Amino acid sequence: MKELSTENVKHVANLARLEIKQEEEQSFVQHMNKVLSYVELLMEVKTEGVTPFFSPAKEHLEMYSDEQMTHPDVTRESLGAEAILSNAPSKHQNQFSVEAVIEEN
Amino acid sequence: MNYDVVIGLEVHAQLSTLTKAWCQCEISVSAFENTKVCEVCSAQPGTLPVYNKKAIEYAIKLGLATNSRINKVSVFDRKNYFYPDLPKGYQITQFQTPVAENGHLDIFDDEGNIKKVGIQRIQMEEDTGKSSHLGEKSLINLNRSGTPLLEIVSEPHMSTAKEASSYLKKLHSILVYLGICHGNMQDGNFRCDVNVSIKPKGSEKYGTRTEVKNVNSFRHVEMCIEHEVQRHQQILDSGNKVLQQTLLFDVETKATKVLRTKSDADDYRYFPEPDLLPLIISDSEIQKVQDNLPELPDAKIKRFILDYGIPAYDANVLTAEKELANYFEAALKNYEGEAKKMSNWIMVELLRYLNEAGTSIERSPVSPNSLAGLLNAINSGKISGKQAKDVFLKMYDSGHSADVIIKEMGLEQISDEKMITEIAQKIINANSVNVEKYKAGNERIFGFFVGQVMKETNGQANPSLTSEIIKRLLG
Amino acid sequence: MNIYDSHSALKKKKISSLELITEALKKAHQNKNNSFISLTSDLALNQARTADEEISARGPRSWLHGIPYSLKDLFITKGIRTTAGSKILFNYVPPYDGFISKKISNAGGVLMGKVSCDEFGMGSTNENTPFGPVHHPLNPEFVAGGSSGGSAASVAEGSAAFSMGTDTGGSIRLPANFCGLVGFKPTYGRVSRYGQIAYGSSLDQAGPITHSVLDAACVMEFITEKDLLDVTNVANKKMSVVHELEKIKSGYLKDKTIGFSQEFIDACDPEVRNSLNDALKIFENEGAKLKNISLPHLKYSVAAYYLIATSEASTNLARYDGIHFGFRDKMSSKNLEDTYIRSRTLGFGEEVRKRIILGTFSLSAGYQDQYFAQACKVRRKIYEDFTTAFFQCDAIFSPVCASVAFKQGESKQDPIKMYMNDLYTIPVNLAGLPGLAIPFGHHKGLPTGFQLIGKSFQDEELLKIGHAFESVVKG
Repeated sequence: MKELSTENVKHVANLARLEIKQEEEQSFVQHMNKVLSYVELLMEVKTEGVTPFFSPAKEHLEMYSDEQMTHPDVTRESLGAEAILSNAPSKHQNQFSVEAVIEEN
Repeated sequence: MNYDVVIGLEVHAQLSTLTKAWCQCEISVSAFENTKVCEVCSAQPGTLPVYNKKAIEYAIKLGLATNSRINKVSVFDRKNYFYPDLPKGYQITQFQTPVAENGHLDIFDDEGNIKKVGIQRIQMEEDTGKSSHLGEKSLINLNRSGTPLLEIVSEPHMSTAKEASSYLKKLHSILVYLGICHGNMQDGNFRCDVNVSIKPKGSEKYGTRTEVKNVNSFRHVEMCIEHEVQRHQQILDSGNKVLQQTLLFDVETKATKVLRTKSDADDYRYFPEPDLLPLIISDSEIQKVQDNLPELPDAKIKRFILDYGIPAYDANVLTAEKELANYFEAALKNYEGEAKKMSNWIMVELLRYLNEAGTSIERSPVSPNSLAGLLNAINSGKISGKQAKDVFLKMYDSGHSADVIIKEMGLEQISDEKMITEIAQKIINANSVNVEKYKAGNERIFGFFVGQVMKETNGQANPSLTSEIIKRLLG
Repeated sequence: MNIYDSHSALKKKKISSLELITEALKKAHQNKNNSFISLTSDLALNQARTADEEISARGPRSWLHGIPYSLKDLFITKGIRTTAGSKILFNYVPPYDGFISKKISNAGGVLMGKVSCDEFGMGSTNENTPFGPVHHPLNPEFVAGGSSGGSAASVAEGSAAFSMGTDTGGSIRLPANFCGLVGFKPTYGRVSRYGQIAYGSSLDQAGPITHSVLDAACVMEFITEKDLLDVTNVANKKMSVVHELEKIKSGYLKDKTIGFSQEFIDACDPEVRNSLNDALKIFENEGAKLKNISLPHLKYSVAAYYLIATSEASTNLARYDGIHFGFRDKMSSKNLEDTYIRSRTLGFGEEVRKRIILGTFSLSAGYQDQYFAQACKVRRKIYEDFTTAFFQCDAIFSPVCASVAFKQGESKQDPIKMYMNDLYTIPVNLAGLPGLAIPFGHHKGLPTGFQLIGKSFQDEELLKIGHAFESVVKG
């Protein structure tokens, strides 16, 4: 595939809510292109009709019982607001607080 | 130009399980902020989801009730996007293979004919927390985070606002009948996204659609569809293009406003959830759910028409809500007359008062048994139909039975033949002039005699019996 | 200080837990290798005193009772800071306890503290962390390996008798190998991942770093209990193999078939190659059959791994958003988007950001089929290679790494070269198999060793083979 431009990489970074600092631009773009050109290697494997392998657990379903995959509909004590908010960078009246959501227009 | 309207609906129904989708925190709308939250539903590092057994059963229920195919193997995916009320940074949902597909519901179209509306898919997913605004800050409450949802995606088979709301009402009633959703729209138990597009009449190609998010009442759905259709028409008629947009319906202005314009930025990067195994549903599980399905609205409508001989219209109204249908059947239990009369009373009188008071049938001050008592009193001639309405009002206000109110009001009809005969004879004797007129052929004078008897008895004489007796006495 | 002998000494009252802990604390305080991120001295001393009381009353209740251990800082510990080796969790104190911490604590293990790792487990050298690089215990100019470098260093230096690490692509086996220790990555699903901060969810597995295979078996008994909070954790597979290992003498290897790939061995640095060939000879001398096997798709492992692991990481790390917990940049966040971007950009280190971007790209619209999906298909080919190979052998012998530990700073230059260090460990994670790194020999003061790969869920057999080898070598 053709190389990714700085703009391409910035766009992807933004999807992940990351910013590429100016001084890192070159190294990040280079890194991406290096890795992507390396993984081109995968294209030489014939995978027509091959089912993707997503997780070893999904290949061994016989090891799992129905019961262990579910929880009963019985309530358990929650942790409590204090514990849940104990690591919050900012809180207000038992809620997490953050700069207002801005709706795009 | 003339256009065809194409409407598709996506409904998010909150399941009425006691616990959340992936953890055992209680689901509560009234709890204090962030008190029904644990490490899982607040997405603390290192936490993992575990299926709610009940939620799976509920999904199968809805699948069966909407004639859908239950997928024996369905999988869960992550839908990635950032939002403060979504603590994991992704929503667990079903993208590739949902739990159920290819269903349909029967509704009435605007002409009253049965129309099949396809259901594309029913997928299991989770609700987000709630944000509220305080000045320049958003406050996040995670009590709702992880509440199990079913998303029900219709085919774009509806072509009028009325059809859309019929479909929604039907789906809503099924969810409530099944006992899997509280169905309270104010609380957000049942939320609807509306997709609208229009195309030149007869054209094969779909027009650009707009999506209106989170419309939260049947009436608003109709209003927003009508508004969108009109807006699209104006745009197309003036030679412009409809933009693919996500909109919000503003209840104040009764118009839609743009939330965002769809773009490449909507890249949810769906991928299979590695923390969950595929959901495998066995035939025996499906059979078990099937065997325990309650009677659904369609079956109930048929049965009401057949067993009680009420018109289709009545059956439809009475089965729209499970509780209403239950009320009707409970009232019939101690009632001896025609079911149609009962259905009239419920639809015309009871529902009117309940609607005016903004309350539901479950909270009706007139119990089914009391209503049956009232109607029995009419049928036995104890009170007249006209009086019954006053009695009903008093029953509604006080919660007392018909008998008590009738006694209180002194309304009991006099059906004592001997007593009415005596009074009537007395009146005939005292009004020989009118007797002569009657005998000379003035039939209208007959009413005079009946009126006099009524006057003598404070209106309590049984009217039909009174007429009969007077006719006999006058020969 | 190993588990098995310390346990015997505690049992025979030749030593107290407090003495073991005091000795370990001395090493920890010297902080020669920068192993610890958080040292929990007071807690350790208290736990040791409690353990001594319990042991003197009833004897040790488990192999681990009174034994000092350390936890990679990816394991959640309630009330004890857990950083994942990242600035973004610099002050994070978990409100809940993870599975590993709970189980080992129940068994009576004494926690010395939380040890360093590459940020979120992303690295092979334990240099990718704001807490500073971990040094090789035998030579500070070299790396200890990663990502569980703090784990390996703490065991090697004697500040812990064993440590729990996590392994996504070799993160237990590589540092164990570099530091001359045993590192065991169990079959995916054998050990609950609840409370283990996720990197690549379909690859991550916790396991011990110890002085011997026997010690690894001691730890496994307590961390293989069924955990209902991890759906991917298998039921009824609690391991109990120590007593069997105790009975194993050298004869165990007779008639075992050990598969190996000459190609892999030949590709290693000469000093590693020699050690591998010597080890193979020992297997042969013990009567094992050696079988050259073919694993044709393993050369694609690194490429497949870097797409899969980073894809999973890109969504696993979305929860670090500066809102619910962890670092938030407060300096100049003007709005929500700004808060996200600044918190994440400043909170994550360079390597983590690079991997998130790669993973995001690999899952993004238009690229997912070509990258993530293709990688998952190749993953199946790799899995099938192993399946085929295991028809011909009981275990596979392979390098852990083509070289001995490298110098600090050396790996930074070329990303692909750095990733290639994991070539022999990564396929094991891709296929979900158990992998056991065993130390054998030295070269210029740096340890060498090899890896044994077992069949799915036959971790016990793998440990037996490994222990039999160690018995021969140690005599």
